[in-house]
Amino acid sequence: MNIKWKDTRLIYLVIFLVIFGTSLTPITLPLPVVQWSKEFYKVIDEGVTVSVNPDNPRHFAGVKEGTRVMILNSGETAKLWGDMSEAVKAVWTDLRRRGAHILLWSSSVDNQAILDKYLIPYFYGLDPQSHSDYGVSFVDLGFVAGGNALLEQWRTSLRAITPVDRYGNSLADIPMMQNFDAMRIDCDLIIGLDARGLESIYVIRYNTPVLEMGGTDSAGYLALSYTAGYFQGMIMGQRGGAEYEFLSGIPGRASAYMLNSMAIALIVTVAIVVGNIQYLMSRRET
Amino acid sequence: MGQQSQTNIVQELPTILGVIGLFIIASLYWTEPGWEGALVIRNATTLSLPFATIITVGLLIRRHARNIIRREETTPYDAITIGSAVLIVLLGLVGGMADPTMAALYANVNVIGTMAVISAISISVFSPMIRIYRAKTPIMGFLILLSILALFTYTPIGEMIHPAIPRLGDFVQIWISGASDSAFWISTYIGAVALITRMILLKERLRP
Amino acid sequence: MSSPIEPLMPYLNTFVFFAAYSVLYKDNPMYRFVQSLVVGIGAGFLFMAQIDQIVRILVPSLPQPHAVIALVMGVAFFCIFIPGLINIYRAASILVMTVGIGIVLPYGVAITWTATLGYSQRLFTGLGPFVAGICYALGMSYFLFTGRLEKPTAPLRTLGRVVLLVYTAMCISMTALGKLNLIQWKVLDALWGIPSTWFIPVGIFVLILIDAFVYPFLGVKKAKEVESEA
Repeated sequence: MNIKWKDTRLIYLVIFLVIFGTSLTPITLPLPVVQWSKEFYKVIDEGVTVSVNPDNPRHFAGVKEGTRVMILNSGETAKLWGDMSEAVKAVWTDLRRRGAHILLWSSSVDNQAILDKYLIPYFYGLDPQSHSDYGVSFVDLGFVAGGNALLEQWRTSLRAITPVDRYGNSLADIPMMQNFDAMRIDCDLIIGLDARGLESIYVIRYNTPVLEMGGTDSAGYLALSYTAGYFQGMIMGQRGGAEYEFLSGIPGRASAYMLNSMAIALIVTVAIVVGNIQYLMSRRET
Repeated sequence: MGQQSQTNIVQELPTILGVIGLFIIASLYWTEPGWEGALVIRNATTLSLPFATIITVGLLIRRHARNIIRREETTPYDAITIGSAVLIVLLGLVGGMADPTMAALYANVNVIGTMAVISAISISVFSPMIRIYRAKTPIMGFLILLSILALFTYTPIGEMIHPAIPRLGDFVQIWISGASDSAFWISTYIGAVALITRMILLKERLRP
Repeated sequence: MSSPIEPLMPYLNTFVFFAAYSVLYKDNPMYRFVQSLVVGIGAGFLFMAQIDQIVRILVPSLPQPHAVIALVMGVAFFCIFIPGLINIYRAASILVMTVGIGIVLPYGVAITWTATLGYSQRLFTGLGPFVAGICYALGMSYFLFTGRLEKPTAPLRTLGRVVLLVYTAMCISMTALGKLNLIQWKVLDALWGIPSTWFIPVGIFVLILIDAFVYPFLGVKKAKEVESEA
């Protein structure tokens, strides 16, 4: 056996072993709730007043029976699902519990496929169209191509360019969609799944409350919209899921992910510290 | 001389029309509900996007087919790519988009495989973190400390050591990193406006 | 309605995930097989999804003007395959580019204005907003000022660089942590899902160990190259 300790491949083997090991016995660990998660929950629970456009402040009273919520599954949800799954489940459970009317749009086929496999059957069974909620408190537009151009059109009329849902049913005939057409006024709350561009289309002009969910690293490119005041709250990664479960009291398994992150972070930190001590010692010697 | 300037105008025509067109479309942002003609063009473009995607898929398949014809080293893999694409198309044509076999293959192979590749590429960042994060300059030392702060903030370690650690990390992420992100993106937007200005001055050309 | 191949899917799903992950060890036939399958199935599905878009959304909208023009543009795109008609394809492409830029262009103006206004209005409302306002200005100065040392703006630009590096450092750590969750999500699924498929990643892991330390068979050429480099 010929082990080469400088072989970088070993790093990945160790990561794999740690993840596997920590998954065998997931333990709940203490975790502080970060500010953007607290605000996310507060918006859903109590509401918020948005005044990015000072001429027309908009008050949202929180999610209640019949609140029209649009979920824009339009970022990298499919690629980040393993880091978003528990948070999306917890928030969706909360929305249903409060009686929200949920309209779902997927911007790409993979985003639609990931929710079809891991989320929609969990809430609406294998044939969502036949579920009692369908058309009453949930409508799925499915994958519709067009991205931001579509969102631009939808602000004045959804049905003008997208007349049917994913199953071909006319939106005009669906009970839930009767007062859900001009998104700039008809939509009470937008929740973006790693979605971008929402601040320009909906917040700056219409003060629509927008919440955002993404992977842990989505914060890197979404922080702009939170810090600048466009997004009213964010839930990021499995950690965000654990925070939401804690805040809402909805049981889940997001906290199982914390042990793995902690173990890897510890190993990496120790390796960086040891490497730096070695570096400083070698510099002194020379 | 006259002929030359005429040729120049013909060459610049797509750019001139493009610039005029983009300002007409851009004006929709500030008009409610917007000019009818511009709205029709915008919505027509949106609805035409599936055709462009179909062509992209066609070009991809053509590339793999050429590899097979040329008997490149990758032929077995090209055959798998084309074979699986054809299989999915056949399933779709027979069963429609609701075909459960097609949906199952897509969700369990494509979506999962893409997620795995993305995660593999991204966690490879741990290797350079371990190997080259050395405090060779004060700034580098500062950045290493910040990286460790982020690791401690977004895992339970920080809270277990001292509650002030995640609070500090949260502060850095929201107020410093967030503002820095703003500066980065807004500078990009300013760059885009500069590019459009160059197009107006006919210093850049619009080409497909 | 479920597919007859559905019972096999958990196994295929787990194999695809960990075979793709094995690329971190090295480029190997298992990874390349999965990669080809991912690309092929993705291309086929994307093709069918676009056909569905046309049938489900475009066709019912006919003969409205936007739908008719979309259809004409769609036909124009296909001129890419006919050299004599390539200019028709170019015209359609330029139209798409024009509309795309036209939609996005105002976003930059609107965000630049509202974000700058927001940061300045909130500047003295607390420590966080104050730090954010200063960091925003410094970050912008990195992009807007030149790097010439004799200029009075040089120190601002240097500080702007530090602010942007803070962002980079935070992003690197968070990206790495986030992507670990993707792997753990699948490991948890393999361990606790029904049916349990944990033996697939373990098998791949053992295969990698044998290849690395006993007998190189996952792409023999590459293993030798790695050894010679080491």
